[in-house]
Amino acid sequence: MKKSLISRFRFFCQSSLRVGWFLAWRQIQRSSKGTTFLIIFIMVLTFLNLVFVSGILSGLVAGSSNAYRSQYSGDLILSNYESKDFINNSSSVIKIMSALPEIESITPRLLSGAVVEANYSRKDNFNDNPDSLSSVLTGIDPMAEDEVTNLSDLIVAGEYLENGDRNQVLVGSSLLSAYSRNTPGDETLDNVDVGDTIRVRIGDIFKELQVKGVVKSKIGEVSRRIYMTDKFLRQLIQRPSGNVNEIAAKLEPGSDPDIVKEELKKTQVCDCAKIETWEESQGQFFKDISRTFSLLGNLIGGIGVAVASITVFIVVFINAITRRRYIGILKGIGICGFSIQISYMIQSLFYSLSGSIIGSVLLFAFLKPYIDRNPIDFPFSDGILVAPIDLTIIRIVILIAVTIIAGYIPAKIIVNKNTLDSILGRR
Amino acid sequence: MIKAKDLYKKYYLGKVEVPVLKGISLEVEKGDYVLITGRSGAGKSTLLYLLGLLDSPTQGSISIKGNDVIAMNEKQKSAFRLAYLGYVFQDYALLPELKAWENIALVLLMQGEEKNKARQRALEVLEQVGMKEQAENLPSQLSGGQQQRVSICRAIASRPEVLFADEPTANLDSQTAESVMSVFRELNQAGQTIVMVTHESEKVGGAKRQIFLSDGVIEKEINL
Repeated sequence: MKKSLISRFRFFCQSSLRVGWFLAWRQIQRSSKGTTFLIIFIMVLTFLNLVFVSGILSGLVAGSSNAYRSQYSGDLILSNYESKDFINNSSSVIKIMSALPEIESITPRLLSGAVVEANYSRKDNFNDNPDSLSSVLTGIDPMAEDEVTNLSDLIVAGEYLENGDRNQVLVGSSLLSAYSRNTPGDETLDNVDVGDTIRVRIGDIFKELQVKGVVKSKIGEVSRRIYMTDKFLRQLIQRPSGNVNEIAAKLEPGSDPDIVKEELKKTQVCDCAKIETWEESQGQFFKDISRTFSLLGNLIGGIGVAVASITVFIVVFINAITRRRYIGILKGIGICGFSIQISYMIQSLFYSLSGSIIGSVLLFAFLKPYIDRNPIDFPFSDGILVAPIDLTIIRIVILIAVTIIAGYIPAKIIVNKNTLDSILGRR
Repeated sequence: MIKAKDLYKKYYLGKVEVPVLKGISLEVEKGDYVLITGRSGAGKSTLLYLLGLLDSPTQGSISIKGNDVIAMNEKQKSAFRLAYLGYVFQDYALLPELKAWENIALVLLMQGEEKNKARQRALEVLEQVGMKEQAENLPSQLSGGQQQRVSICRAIASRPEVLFADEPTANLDSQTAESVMSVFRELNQAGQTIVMVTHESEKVGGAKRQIFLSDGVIEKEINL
């Protein structure tokens, strides 16, 4: 008895599917090409709205985060504890880090706060406000820094530092009015370009320096600093000890920053310096804004899905209601209602799947490569398009599921109407 | 084959009760060709819908092949219609996006037939009515008479026990109507049980019995 019921159910499902497919495919093939194109076009837009908009919003933060990692922190960054002026036993820490096989390269940085002044020789009146601002002097090994952060690639004017350079500095673009966006509230130096002289004051020490190059970055830690060679800065601030304030490390490809951090913690390094992965060093703000943008993207995508489902609902409802008589006749000649519902669900599946496939091709073959090559120039980051395959597949599944339901509901409403009323066109 | 007893059917227009059938009893034997005729509003189409399980009587009983069909639910009725009954509608009612053979094959697919076998059977019945050449045509590419022939093919492709036809020639010119009626005649001669409704009482077209309905009751019944 049970077996018979199961086999009857299987037979029913097979027949319903076969008839549903038969009806759906022929309706798609022989319906108006213009209408089909329009529905698929809407589905493509919905897919792009779902993936592209949220991808761009996430990409805003991801672009900034990636730049922070590649231009400033590396994969791991060590810094001095707030209570200390520098990383204790810096040379030992550097040795330990250099010995770790997972670490590809490191760049130690010596930092010193300073007041930077420009246009002081052109000042007519002694009482005029000086053109000055506070900045961080950063002593680097130009080769080591370039290996970790590719700092030389960020030079937009002039030249990169060389090991023997003295009295020559690289200035962050945010410090110069000629290179910054001049956002209200930002302090900048006027009329300073490559070859000009600026003056720095560190405590009682004054020193005139020549601008060798300008470093342009959307990461504040990079664009609001003044770079010079480590040796020169040590002489300038009279710190011969060899201690540094920051060490950024680039890991071998495939190495996990968290694992390397744990390895470093097992040594005495953590007594000397604060160890952070690139994500940790960005702070909670980045995580919060990333989560907010992701939420916003999902919200916009959700509205897109709702619009798509309403579109499919209306299309199927109009189609089904104008074909109500045919649906009645189909039921009259013995075609089960479920087959008719399946035919509409298959049509919805066709529309959403076509839209998703075309949208995916557009996204991964054109839009993503294009935006990767030409990041969107936002004020605080170079926005990329974040569209991971797994998340995209989940969104495609959501879109398809929602449109199938949107196709099923109106079909069920019409199919459930009285057969004879449908055949005779009675309300 | 079909036994209907004391069939009553009432409709409601707002709160007004409109009796359409007032106690009709009839029997249809296997191989019979019954013509139900009468003036407009006599209740002939309503009777056909009741016998064809498309509607339920207000009162009375119907038995087809020994099955009490009134007791069946909608799904059972649908399965019963698929298995035992065929319908020809007045305006052909072919699905516009399906070719002639596809309209016919649909019922066979629902019965579980493979697509190729369903197509083969569809071509077979189309040949039976002289329309094999038009198998690949859409309904819009066929004349009214041709569409009605396809509609007949759809109804008989699954070899139903009873074929119901609701004014099948109403939309056709007299010459085409005659050729369609000849198809029914041939089907009946081959053993097909047919129950047909028509308002043209003079066009008996090979029927064996004629039932005259008037005002919801059988006025007279004659053997032809």
